[in-house]
Amino acid sequence: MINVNRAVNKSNMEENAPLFYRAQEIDGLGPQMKYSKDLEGINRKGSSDEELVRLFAKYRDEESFNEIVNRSSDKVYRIALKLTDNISDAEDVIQEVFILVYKKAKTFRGESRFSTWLYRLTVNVALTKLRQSKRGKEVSLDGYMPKFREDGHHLVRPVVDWSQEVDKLVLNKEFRQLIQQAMDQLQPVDRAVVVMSDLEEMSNREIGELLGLSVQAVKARLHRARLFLRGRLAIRLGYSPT
Amino acid sequence: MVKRVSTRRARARKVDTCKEATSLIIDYLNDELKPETTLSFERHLGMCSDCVAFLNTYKKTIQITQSFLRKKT
Ligand SMILES: [Zn+2]
Repeated sequence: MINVNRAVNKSNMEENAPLFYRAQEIDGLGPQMKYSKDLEGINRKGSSDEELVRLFAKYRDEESFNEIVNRSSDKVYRIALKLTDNISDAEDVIQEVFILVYKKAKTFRGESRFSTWLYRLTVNVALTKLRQSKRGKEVSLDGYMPKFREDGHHLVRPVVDWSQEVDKLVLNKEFRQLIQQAMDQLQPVDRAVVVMSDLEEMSNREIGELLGLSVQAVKARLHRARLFLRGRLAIRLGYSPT
Repeated sequence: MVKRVSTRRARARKVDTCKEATSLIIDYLNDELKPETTLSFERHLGMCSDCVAFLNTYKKTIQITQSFLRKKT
């Protein structure tokens, strides 16, 4: 179960201020905010994300940083939770992402929108997190790939259409655990591709851009992951996975 | 223009086997196949109950995954 309050709490100002100082400490550069007349009278709440990042990168303006965190921490949390499927991992991801924003704000060139840049950062941090916590859980998908005869026919025939039969099971708790387990056994990137496609309903191109993969590679991963999930369902129903 | 049409034709694929059909499922579901390839794919389905079963269970898998992920959030 997801604790929405935790996600909301993350965007409280009181919680963000320590994040700023933590980032400052980790960053090690530690220069204090540079006072400038440019900052006078700036309405940070009314500024665009891109403008806030620029202000922060240029002046290390704490208020701009906190406003960025305020605006985007829910979104970061939401993505992180979907990708890691774990509340405490997702909370770690928030911290790490904003520390990275602190460190890398200078490298944000404004060629893409800030939200895209942040999304990409979040995906990378979440995947790293997932790789650490899921190490060794992944299984090989090879056994779930369809097999064919030399003439190109399915090797195991007939292929059984269990698509109606499975409906009776979907509400079953044990069945949901099976899907959960199968999702957990996917490689982090494959899991991310499935989540982005099936839950976020992103196009293969968008997914590729976020993960640094070609459209072909996204499709291939998605296809393999689906065949694996399909195979798992088939086995549960007593049929061939391939 | 003429050239483009001919490349398009050249890239359309004829679906003769289950192996070919299976490899096209993802593009078929995304509606990304050339019209000729879609026709050929569907013609294969018309003759092959194995591929119909495979496609139905593949689609079902997507549905199940989707509703599983949605319920979690
Ligand atoms: Zn077939």
